Amino acid sequence: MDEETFVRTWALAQISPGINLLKLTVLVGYYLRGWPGLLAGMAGLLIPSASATILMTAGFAMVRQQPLVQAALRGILPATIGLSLAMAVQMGQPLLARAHREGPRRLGLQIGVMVLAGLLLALWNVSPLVILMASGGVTILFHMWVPAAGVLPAAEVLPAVEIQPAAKDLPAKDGGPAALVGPLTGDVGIVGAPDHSTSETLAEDGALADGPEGEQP
Amino acid sequence: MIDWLLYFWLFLKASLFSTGGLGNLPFLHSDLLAHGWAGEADFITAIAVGQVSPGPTGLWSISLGYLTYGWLGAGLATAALSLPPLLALVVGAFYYRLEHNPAVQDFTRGLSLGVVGLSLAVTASLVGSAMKDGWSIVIALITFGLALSKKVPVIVLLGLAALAGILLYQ
Repeated sequence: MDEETFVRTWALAQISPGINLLKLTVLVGYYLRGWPGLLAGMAGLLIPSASATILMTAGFAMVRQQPLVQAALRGILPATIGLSLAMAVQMGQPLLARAHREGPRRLGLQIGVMVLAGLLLALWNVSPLVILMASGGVTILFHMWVPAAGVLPAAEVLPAVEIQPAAKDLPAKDGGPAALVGPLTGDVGIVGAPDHSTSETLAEDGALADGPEGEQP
Repeated sequence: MIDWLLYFWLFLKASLFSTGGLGNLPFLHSDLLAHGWAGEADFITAIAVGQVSPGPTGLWSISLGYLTYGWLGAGLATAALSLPPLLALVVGAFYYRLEHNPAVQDFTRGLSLGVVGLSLAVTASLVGSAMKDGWSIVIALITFGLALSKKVPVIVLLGLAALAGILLYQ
């Protein structure tokens, strides 16, 4: 599997349903060895980690009433809150950073979508599915109405899915995927479109996309 | 009494409409609470176990399955999160043709924004049962800061939090 295939696989895994690592395992396993590869990969990942999770939960359920465990738990639970808050921030930060480069109106809308999604669930208990579909729909409509400020149409072609650090760290080879990702401060999701077959097109696209964004303060 | 088919469907649905991590939390949180099949404590405990145990954080729902419905629940939860990733093969067939379509990109961005908003809302709703005094706010804030800095592994953070709990409350 070459770098470009891996990076595209990674991007695809970001938007399809389920746990990222499982999707990556499915795609890589299938790409390399077909269904046997897929099943072997899934089994190799799931059997040890799922068993460990169940056993740890079972062990915990047995000692849950011990005073020492209770005390430890009173420390762990607030820490879990801090952790999930950090996860939300880590996920939201690159999204808003990208919106910020596209101008204040788009930034305002995207913050609005985020806040409204949270409020709809917290205050009116609206179904998460409805909220997610509405978030996607509203963003499409508003982005059609308000074009990104200072971004050339060529840069619009770049996809929305955020790339993960692991993919960014891939070494650049012959102006390969990493060369395109590099100058864009990790903001680009999918690398290597069908027409990006040569290193020349890659470098050109990278330069095009980088130019206008670089000029934005 | 838990209807195991519905239980499985709720887990499957949560996995189908989320893309990993704690993305399935809002779904399971509203559905299981609505049926009275789980309490707030089950969720926080399962998330904590999911963070500590090896493998992806997303496996936290297996722990939730065990806490709410025993071994059967854990098995159903595991099955429910093993199936949706297979759809990546199907999504891939369409996605590589659509990946440069602006509407598809905007929809994906909107989805991610919604996911962040939902996780914040669920986290807020768990605060009540996880944080009872001033110290717990301190612990949550310190963990939040250290987790953002990415300098300390999650398992170490939770270990320190457990130690703090023992020292403070034992």
